[in-house]
Amino acid sequence: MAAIQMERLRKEYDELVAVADMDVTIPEGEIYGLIGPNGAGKTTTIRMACGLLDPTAGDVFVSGVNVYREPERAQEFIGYLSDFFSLYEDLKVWEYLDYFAHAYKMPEREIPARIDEVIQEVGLEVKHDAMIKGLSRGMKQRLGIGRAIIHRPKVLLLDEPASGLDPKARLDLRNLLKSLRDQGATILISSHILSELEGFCTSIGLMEKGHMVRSGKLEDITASESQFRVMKLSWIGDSTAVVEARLRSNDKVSGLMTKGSEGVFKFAGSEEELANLLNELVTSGVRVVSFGEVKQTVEDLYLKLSRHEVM
Amino acid sequence: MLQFWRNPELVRHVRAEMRPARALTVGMTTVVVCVLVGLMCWSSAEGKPQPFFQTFYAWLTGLQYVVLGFWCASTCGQAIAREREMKTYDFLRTTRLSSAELMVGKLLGAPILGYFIVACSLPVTFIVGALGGFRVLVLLENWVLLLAFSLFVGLMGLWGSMLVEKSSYGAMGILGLAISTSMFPYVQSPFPGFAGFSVLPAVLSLHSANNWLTKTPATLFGLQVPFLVVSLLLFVTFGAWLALMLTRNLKKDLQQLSLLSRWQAVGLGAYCNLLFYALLNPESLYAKPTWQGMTPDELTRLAVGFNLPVLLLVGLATLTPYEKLKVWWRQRSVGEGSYFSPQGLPWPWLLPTAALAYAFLVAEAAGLRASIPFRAWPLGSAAIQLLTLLVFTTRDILFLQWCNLTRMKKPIIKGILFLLLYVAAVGITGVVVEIVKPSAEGFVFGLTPYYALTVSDLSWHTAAGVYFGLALQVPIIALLLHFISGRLSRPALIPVVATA
Repeated sequence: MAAIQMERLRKEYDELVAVADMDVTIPEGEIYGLIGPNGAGKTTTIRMACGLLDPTAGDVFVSGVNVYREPERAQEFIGYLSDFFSLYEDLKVWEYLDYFAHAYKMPEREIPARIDEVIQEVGLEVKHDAMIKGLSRGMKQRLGIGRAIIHRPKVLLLDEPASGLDPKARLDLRNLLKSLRDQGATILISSHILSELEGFCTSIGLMEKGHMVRSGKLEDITASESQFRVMKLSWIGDSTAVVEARLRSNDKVSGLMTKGSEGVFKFAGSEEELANLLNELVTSGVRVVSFGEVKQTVEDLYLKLSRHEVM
Repeated sequence: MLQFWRNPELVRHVRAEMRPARALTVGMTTVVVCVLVGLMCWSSAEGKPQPFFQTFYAWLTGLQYVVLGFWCASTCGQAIAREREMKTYDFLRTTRLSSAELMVGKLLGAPILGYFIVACSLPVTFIVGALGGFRVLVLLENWVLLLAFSLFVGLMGLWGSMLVEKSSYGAMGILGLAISTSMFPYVQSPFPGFAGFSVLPAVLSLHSANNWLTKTPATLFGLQVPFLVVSLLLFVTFGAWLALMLTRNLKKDLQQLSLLSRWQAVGLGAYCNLLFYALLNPESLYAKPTWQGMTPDELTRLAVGFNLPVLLLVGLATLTPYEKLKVWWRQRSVGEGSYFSPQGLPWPWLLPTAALAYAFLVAEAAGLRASIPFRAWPLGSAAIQLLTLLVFTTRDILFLQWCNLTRMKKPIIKGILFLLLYVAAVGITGVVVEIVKPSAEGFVFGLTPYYALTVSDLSWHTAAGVYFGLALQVPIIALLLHFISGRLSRPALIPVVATA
């Protein structure tokens, strides 16, 4: 069963279509990065997915439950965190989590243990009894995450969760989300800072002007978008001329650049042809130290797929 | 839901606002204030125990109503808008708390400190009241009234807070309190029961057997009933309508509020009319004009005039959010959406509301035929007057709906201000025309619905202005419908994206 399913989801503000008939299915256990420039419709999509906004048309199902027809049941499966938020500053850390645990109607007997567990998970053990107003921005963000996961939701909807955080707090957040992913949560996370999603998302959806331009597994998109792979080669000894000659003579190679005993080139052939090329280099006497593919970043992919809107 | 004391929202407020140190300080301060009030009363009672206790009790009771009234109005009046400002409301909306639970939690939780202050003063009030000679039942009835009053005021505040963006508009709760208190002068009108909206008549008549209010109680369906009963009835029934609107909308986005369903709005119109006749004192009706009462003709005009705000209220409660109206328009263009659809234009629903108002008037005339002949009621004129109101209200509601489709900020408030400006302009022009050419004044005043209520003879030749005004509204309504359809027919702007 899909963790999140959006069917013909559409949102209009006045005469502008903010989200245009979007169909997205996110399987369980995925970390789905919703990327796109400001104003692409990411926040609107997430707000519709968690039931905060009624769509003009279409439906959203979370764990099979229609978010608009059975909103209170759907909330059992959803944890939501937005980019800018505040907490109830006049409560203590544990009181805040206790409030939301009750608001999510968790069984009474499970609540105290779950609060301790979440406080530990978000690293606020020493602040258990502290007033929220005394916490730092990063701590508040972590407490916000704690609130979103207190009821063990199957799906986490995070709208620009790292905005406004310092690098250390971002790293903490990233580690926290990774551990949640390991626990089996499905995460839909939006961001326009693409490095935030690097090495973290398993799938991405690229939004532009309300349209879902591409959506799917990261490796599938990378493979389908790549006409060639970028290769990096390094060697020892004075073999630059041989390397250049061999590579230039191969019709699958293009865009060769060498510097010292390193070279980068594009290769448009198959795995077997790549193995043959390496073999050729070695048999020509090039003492190869490393030979590997340069992985494309999410940012590379975004720039390739999008129309290069302002980031 | 029934175990309201376990409501998470209430518990949150108790935890945040009733920390032991603060609760102790507030409790001590309350006791000190009670002692000071007692000393003040002692000095004015000249050492006589009975008047001292009675004055002391009166002061404490009065203070309890003032403190709780203002506290509930202001805190509930800001409760939701403040959360929207703080951006914490979205998180509440994404919990599993139902709208009803949220409402109960906020209603009891937001003014918790006010309730605590009053609770601290209750033992003192009880002892002083008992020593002052008041029966225990009276003291208990007073507490029930105090609770009903504070909940009603809190509901008004919460309702107002739901409709606005900024917590500074929390003054709306205080405004509601002021309006309900200002109903007190109705005590001496043919509708004494309306004074029950103000808590004063009930409190005064409850505590004094020889009070003039006790001698002239309110009437309910012609029966004399204590003001306490009428006040409780009004607080409970009006509170129920407020609660209904709150539970329908509390978890909705501000732009998607729709206060009542179509049938609920018609029901609200019927309820207001029922209340009008239920609270009428039939003894104030006379077949022929007298100095001390009303004739059926006057009551009919009053009943029709009463329906002007009722129709506007029904129209306002059923205004359709832009987006829903657009969806309805698209469905209609493919032959699916009916004119009476819950997502359509609100004006068709004014018709059954007006028809019900007329039915209530006829029923009242029929019910009183033993004392007033049926033919004494100007039901024909009433039908024309009601039709006039209906046409004008339809125009106004369509205008407000059109405002809601434009991109102006706070469209409904601005629309209402435009309408008031129009009425004022017509009034001033009418006065000028009355001076310059008196024969033409009707044609100017006829541009507002009020004129139809002031003309005694609605025949064609004497009330041409009424029919002129009425006829003029038809093309205006058609024009407004044209503008609305123009707005709704605009194609949606879908930004085009070319994939790489």
